[in-house]
Amino acid sequence: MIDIVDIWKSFDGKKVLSGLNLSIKDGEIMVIIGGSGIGKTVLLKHIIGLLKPDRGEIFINSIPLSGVANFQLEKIRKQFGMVFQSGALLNSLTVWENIALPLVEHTNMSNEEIRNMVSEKLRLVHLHGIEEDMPANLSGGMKKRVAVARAIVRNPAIILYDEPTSGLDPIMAHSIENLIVRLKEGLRVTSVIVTHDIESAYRVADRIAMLFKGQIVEVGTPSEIRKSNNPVVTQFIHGEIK
Amino acid sequence: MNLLGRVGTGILNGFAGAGGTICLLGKGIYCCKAFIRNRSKIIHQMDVAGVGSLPVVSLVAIFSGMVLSFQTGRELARFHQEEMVGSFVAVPMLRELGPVMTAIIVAGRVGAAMAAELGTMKISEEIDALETMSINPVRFLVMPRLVALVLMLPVLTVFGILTGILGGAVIANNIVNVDYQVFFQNAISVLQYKDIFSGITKSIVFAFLIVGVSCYQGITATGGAAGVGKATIRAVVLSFLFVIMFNFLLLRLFY
Repeated sequence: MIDIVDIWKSFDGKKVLSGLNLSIKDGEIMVIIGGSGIGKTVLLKHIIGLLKPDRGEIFINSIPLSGVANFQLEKIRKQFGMVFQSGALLNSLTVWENIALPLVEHTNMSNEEIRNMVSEKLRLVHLHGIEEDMPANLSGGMKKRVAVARAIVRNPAIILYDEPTSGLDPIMAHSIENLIVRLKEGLRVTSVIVTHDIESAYRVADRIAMLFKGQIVEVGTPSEIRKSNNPVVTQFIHGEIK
Repeated sequence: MNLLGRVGTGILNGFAGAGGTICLLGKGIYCCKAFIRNRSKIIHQMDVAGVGSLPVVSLVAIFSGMVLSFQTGRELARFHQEEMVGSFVAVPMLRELGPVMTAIIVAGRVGAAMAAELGTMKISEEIDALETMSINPVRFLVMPRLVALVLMLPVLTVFGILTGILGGAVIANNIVNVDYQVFFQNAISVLQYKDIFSGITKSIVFAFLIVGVSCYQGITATGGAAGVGKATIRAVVLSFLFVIMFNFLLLRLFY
């Protein structure tokens, strides 16, 4: 379970998160929506401890992130996988080396076992035959799919996605959405997805949370969000400009 | 912000940068316990930093030795002491020129590359990605560079010193009319173990400085491609400054 309690965060005096509260249950797909530049990625980075709040606390399975030593934080992060918006593949490593990296660093698996695991994850994201390619030679969409493969290679309990379907064609986007749902149904993976694509959110989410002016202004199932009377929510989901 | 405020901010930023660099070096030294596990990365960095720098270090050293031999040989010839030219090339080359010149070349070539590479990784979130995979970025990125340069800079320095003296010997023989045997006998006669020790020690200290400054500037880069460019410039300029400053401090320590 992830509990975000009253977190505040400013950058150079500009408030990004202002007393944000949100709880994410085990095994659910929580989609956080909001406009561009509203702080969705900042929130995601707080959940995995890449950023520390100015005030407030984040609990991962009741463990507060602020009080943990670095080695404990590393242990907590082993439960996580994260897909960055731009992929964040290591450009000095091949596709194979990128995906295999968490296994090489943290397991005693043999090369053969790692190779099989990497191939399996590449198949899940509909990529094969590119193991020896360098990230610089991949399209944006391929980089995103390799990043998804890397995030799921250790079968983590919690996966964070920063705009997982941006840059993908509709077929690949649906494929990634189906993968996210399959991971939840098969392995009870908790997924936290940040996106501004409301249609994608409707398709995959168990619950949707709307981020606006540093706070969560509404949380609900996709049908509840569709029927919401909150003007901020209705403006966002209908794409109205005021 | 007025002038006083800007000066104050600059001083505070300088202290913060110095503290950050020292902390990063400390973490890098601590991560050396994972030396064996990261040996392939270390070897790769030794190739990039050491083997890759050999041609330029050799060329600069040879020409530096040749110039030194020519200039000192001409002056010594006025007093009919040209047979001393060997010592006037070997001593400065071993004590000062070799270590400092090699460090400056490596700072410009390798230090800049470290800052640029790590800065690019920072702005494209690759360092964040390492942290999310529970991989310590200092162990993965900084430690191999630190170990590689601490091992290779002394080697490059010795190579630079030897090629510089060799270049000096060629000029001494062909222009100053000093026989090779006389040149090398004179060079060896004035050298002390302290000279060799100080040269190697300086190169090790310079290696720490170059890696610490360059990696810190890279890892803290912000502001996109322009920010990486600025970080690279800062890395090179600060490395140069610290090499020159620490050279003087070490000079006072040994002599």
